[in-house]
Amino acid sequence: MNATPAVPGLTPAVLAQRTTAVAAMVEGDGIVAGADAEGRPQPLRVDPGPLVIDAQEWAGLERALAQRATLLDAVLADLYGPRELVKRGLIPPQIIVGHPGFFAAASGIPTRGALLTTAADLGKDADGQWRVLADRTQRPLGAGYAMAIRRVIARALAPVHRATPLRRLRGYFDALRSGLLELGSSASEAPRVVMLRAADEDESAFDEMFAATLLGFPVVVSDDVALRDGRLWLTTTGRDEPIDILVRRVDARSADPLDLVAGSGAGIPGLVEATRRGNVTVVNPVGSGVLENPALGAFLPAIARALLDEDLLLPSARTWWCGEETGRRHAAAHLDDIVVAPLASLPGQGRVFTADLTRDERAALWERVESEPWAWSAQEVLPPWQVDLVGAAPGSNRAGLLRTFTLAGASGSTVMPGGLARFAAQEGARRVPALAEAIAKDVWVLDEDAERPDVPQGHRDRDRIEVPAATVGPVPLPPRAAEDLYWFGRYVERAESTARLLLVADDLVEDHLTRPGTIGHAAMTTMLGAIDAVTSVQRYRGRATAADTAAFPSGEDPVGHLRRLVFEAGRRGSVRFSAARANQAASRVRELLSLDAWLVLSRLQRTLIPTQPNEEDLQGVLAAVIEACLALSGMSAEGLVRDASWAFHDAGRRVERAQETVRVLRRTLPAASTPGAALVREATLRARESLLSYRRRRAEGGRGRSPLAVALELLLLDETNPRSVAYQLDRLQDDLRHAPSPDPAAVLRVPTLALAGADAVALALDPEALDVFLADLEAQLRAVSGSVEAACFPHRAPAHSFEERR
Amino acid sequence: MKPLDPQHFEPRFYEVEHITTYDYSADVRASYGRACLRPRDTATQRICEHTIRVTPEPGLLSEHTDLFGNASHYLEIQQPHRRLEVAKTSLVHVTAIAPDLSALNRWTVAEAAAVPPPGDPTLGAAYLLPSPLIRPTAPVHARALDALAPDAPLGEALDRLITGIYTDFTYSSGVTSVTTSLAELLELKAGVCQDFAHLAIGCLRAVGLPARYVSGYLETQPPPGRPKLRGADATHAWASVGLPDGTWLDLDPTNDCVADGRYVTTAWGRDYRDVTPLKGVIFTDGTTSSLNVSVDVHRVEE
Repeated sequence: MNATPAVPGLTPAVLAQRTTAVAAMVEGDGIVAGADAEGRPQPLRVDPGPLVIDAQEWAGLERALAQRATLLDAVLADLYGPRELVKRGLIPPQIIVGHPGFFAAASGIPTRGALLTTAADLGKDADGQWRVLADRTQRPLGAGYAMAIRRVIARALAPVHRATPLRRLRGYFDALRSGLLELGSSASEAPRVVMLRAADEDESAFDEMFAATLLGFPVVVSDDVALRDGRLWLTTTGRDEPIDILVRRVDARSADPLDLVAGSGAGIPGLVEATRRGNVTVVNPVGSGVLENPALGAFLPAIARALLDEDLLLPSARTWWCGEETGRRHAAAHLDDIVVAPLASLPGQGRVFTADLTRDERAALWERVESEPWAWSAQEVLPPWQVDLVGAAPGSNRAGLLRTFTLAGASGSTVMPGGLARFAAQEGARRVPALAEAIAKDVWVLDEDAERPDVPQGHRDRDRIEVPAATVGPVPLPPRAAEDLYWFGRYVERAESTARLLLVADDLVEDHLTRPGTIGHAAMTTMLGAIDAVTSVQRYRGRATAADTAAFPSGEDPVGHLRRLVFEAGRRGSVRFSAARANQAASRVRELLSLDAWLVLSRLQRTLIPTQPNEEDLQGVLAAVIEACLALSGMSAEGLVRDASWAFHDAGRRVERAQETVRVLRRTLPAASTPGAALVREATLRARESLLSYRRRRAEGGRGRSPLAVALELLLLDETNPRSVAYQLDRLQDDLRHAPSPDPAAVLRVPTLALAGADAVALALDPEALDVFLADLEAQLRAVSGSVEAACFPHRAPAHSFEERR
Repeated sequence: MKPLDPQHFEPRFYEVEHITTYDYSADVRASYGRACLRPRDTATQRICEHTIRVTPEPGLLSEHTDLFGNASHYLEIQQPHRRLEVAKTSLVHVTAIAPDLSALNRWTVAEAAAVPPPGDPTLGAAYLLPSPLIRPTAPVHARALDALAPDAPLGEALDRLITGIYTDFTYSSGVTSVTTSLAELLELKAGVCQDFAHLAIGCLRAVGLPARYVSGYLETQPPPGRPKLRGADATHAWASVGLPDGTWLDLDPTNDCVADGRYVTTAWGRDYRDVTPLKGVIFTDGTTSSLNVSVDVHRVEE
C-alpha cells in the first residue's frame, strides 16, 4: 500500500491524545454496531486517524466507480429483462438462476435506473491497483456510518479538519434525495418517497436510521403500508397516501410474502405486483441481490465492452468461476493464494480462506466444489493494508477494506467522496471482520481545488455536518412511528416520575431509618410501600439477568431496595428499565429526533449503569436522571414543530403523568389521620414537583381549607398547575386533535366530568370517599390510554399464508 | 412403464372445471393471491374457451406471462369475506402424439446429458440446477445412477426411472406436505403425485438431463359399472424431460405412463413452487380455515 498523503497536524501524538474524545463522542452520538452477550448495542470502535486519499488518486477511482455503478444497473436491467447477456454467452446462466438473489417472480419488471445505490468493497492488489472485493447491491449499508463517523472526527480533530481542504460527504445524501425524487417524477409532480425498515431492529438499524435522518423521508414498517388496487398506500395518522418510491431497507426475502418467499407473513404482499404494474419503484429492486455474486467479477470486463463499449476501469480482484474447467483447475492449483466463495454468502456458508484450512478440510471443501462447481468461484487474496492505528506500530499489517458508495441516477452518477474503512483488530488475521468487530476509520479525500463545486452540480458544498430540517411540507406520520413516539413520551415520563419518588424516599430513609417508632419512620414506611405499589403496578417482574442477581443480593434493607429500583435492568418499573424502554422506542424513530435528544438519551443510559462496589451516589444519579428528563421535555417543548409527531410524544407524557399522579396520591394521601401523614403529604407534593406551590398556597392561608384539601386541589384539579391531572387532560385533548380519531372530547369525557364534579374539601374530610374517588379516577385514566392506543395505533389483523397443493 | 394405449392418443375436447373454496373462521379483511388460472397453449393442446370467476369480486385481477411462459394471475380482494371461491373453466382441445420410446435408445444417458438444453439458456439452466423443493442429496444421486447409468440407452433408462418410482412408492395423501424434501420422501416411501414428480425431476437433473415440473389435470375413469361423479377428479402433476432433439417428453411416475391425451397441462416450472395453482396471503384475526378443491375433467363433443 502506498504511503498516505501527509496532512499537516495529523501527528501520532495528536491522534493518540484524541482517542478518548473520539470514543466519548461515538458513545454520545449513539453510534452502535452489534451487541454484547446481553443484547445491549455496543459503540463502534473508531480510530481517530482518517484514511487519507489524495485528489488525483480519487479522481481516477471516482470515474471508475461511477462506470461500475452504471454497468451494474445495465446488467440488472438485462437480467430481469431480455437476458441478452446470457443469450450471447457473456454470463453463464447458472450463476444467475443458481443465485438465491435471483427471483423468477421479478422477471419482466423493468429496473433500469432503480439500482440507485451501490457500494463496493475495495482493496489494493500487489501492484497497488484498486480492486473490487465485493459489490453490495441488495441493500448497501454503511453510508450512514460514514457520515456519523465524519461528524465525530470533524469535531474531535476540529483544527485539522478545518485547515484541510477536504471533500465533504453531505452532497451525496442530497444527490440521493434528488435521485429518489427523480425516479418518481414520471408518476407524480411531488412523488411520495418512504423508507421501509424491518419491524424488528437488526444490525443495520443505526446506519439506516442515520441515513433516514439525513434524507427526511418517512420511515415505515410493512404494517404501515398496504396494497390496494395494485397501488402501494401509506396509512398515515391522517389520510392514506399513495407511495411512488419505496426505499427498501429490508432484505428482499422479507419484502413480499406473496411473490418472494412465502411463510412468515412478514413484508408487503403484492409489492412485486405493484412494481410490475409500474405503480411503485422499489430501490434497490428486489432482485438486485443477484449482482452480489463473486463469480460475476470474472465476466464484468467483457460485459463492460459489450454493454458500454468501454474497458472496465475498476476490475474485481482476479476471479475464476469454478463452473468452467479452466477456472476450476486454476483454483485447485492455487489453494494457498485464494479465497473460495460460494455464489451467495448465506449463514454458515461464506468465503473460505483455503490457506487457513487443514489438509482434510481442504479436501472436504474441494469435494463440495466438484459436486456443484457452478456454485463456486475463487478470488485472489489481496495483500493486507499497511495502516496507522492508534495503539499499534505505524504501518501495521491489517486485513481491511474501503467501502465506497455510488449513486447511478438518471442525471449521472455521484460517488460519495470518502467512505467507510474498516480493519481487523488484530495483525495477521486474513478475514476482514464485520463492522462490529472491526476498527473503523473516517476516509478523507483531499480536494486540490477548494473552489470546485462538490458533486453533484447544484449541491454545492454547504455546511455538511448540519442535519437538515425535514423535507418541505408536512411529512405524514406512519402509525408505528406515532406509537413509538407516544411510548417514548410515556417511558421518559415514567423514568422521571419514579426518579422523583425515589429521591424523596431516599431522603426519608436517610433521616429516619435508624429511628423506629418515630413519626418520621412511619412516614418513611408509608412512602416505601407506596413506591412498591406504584412501580410494580404492572404486577410483572421481568426475568432477572445474571448480572442483576449478582449485583442485587436479596435482603430487604431499604437502601438496597431503593438502589434496586434505580439500577435493576430487568425490573419492570425501575428507573433503568423505563429509561431503556424510552431509548428503545426513540431508536425506532431516530429520524424524527434531534441529535441533541440522542446525546441526552445516551447520557441517561450511562448514568444508570451501576458501579461496583455498590457505592453510587444515589441522590446524584437520581438528580442526573431528572435533569436528563427535563432536558428532553425542554427539547420537545422548545425544539419541535407542533405537528403530529410532537402531539403523539406529548400525549404519551400526559397520559403517563396523569396516571402516575393518581397512583401516587392513592397510596399516600388517604391515610390522612395516620402518624406521619403531614410528612407523607409533603413528600408526595415534592415528588410531584408541587411542594413550593403548596407552601405558597398554605402561606396565603389556603382560603380556610385543610392542608390535605389544598394538596388535592393542587395535584388533581388546578388547571394552572402543569403537574395536576386536570392540566394533563387539558393538554391531552389538544394533542389528540392531531389524531384522526378518536374524538378527544368523547374519550376524555368521563375523567373530565369526574374532576369537574370533585370537591377537594369534602374529599379531604372523608378518607374512604377519597380512596374510592382516586381508584375510580385511576381506572378511568387507564380506559383513556386504552382507547387512545386502540384508536391511534391500530394494528392490522395478522397475515397468514396459504397454498393449494398440487 | 405401461404400454401406450392408442385410444389415449385420439384427439379430444375436454371441459375442465376447477373450483377452490376456502372457508375462514373469521372475517378476512384483505386477501392477496397468486394463481395459475389459465392453462397454457402447448404443442399438443389448444385452449378454446376459458372463464375465471372469483367470489367475492376481486378489486383487481390481472394476468402476465411469467419467466416460464405460464399465465400468472394476481388477485386482490379488499372487502371482508368469510369464503373465497375461485372457479375456472376451460375448454381444451388435446392432440397428443404417441412418442417412440425405443427411438430414444439411439442416445445413451451421457450423450443426452451432453446436449445443451433446448431454448432459452437461462431456462435451460433453471431446469438443470437444483431448485428450492428439489435438492439433490446423496440418496437421490444413488437412485438416479441406478436407473440412469451414463451408458444406459436413454429410452430404457427413462422407463426404468419412472417404473421404479411407481413400484417403490405408495400413493398416500396426508403423509407429505408442500414442503417435504426429497430426502424425507425417500425415507417415507409414500406421497402424492407432486412428490413423485419432484423425485423423478431430481433424478433426471442429477445425471444432467433437463427436467421440469408440470401441473395440470388427468381425466380419471370411475370404477367399472359406476357413474363418474362430478368433482371427483383432482389436479395432477408430472415430470417432463428435455430430449437431445430439442423436444420435451412428459412422464407420469404416479401412474407409470407417458402423459398421453388424457393429460391437460396448466403450467410448468422448476418445481411446485413456480406453478402453485393458488397461493396467497390473507389478513384475518381468525386462525383456522378449511379448503375444498373440486375438479372435474370430462370429455365433450365439439
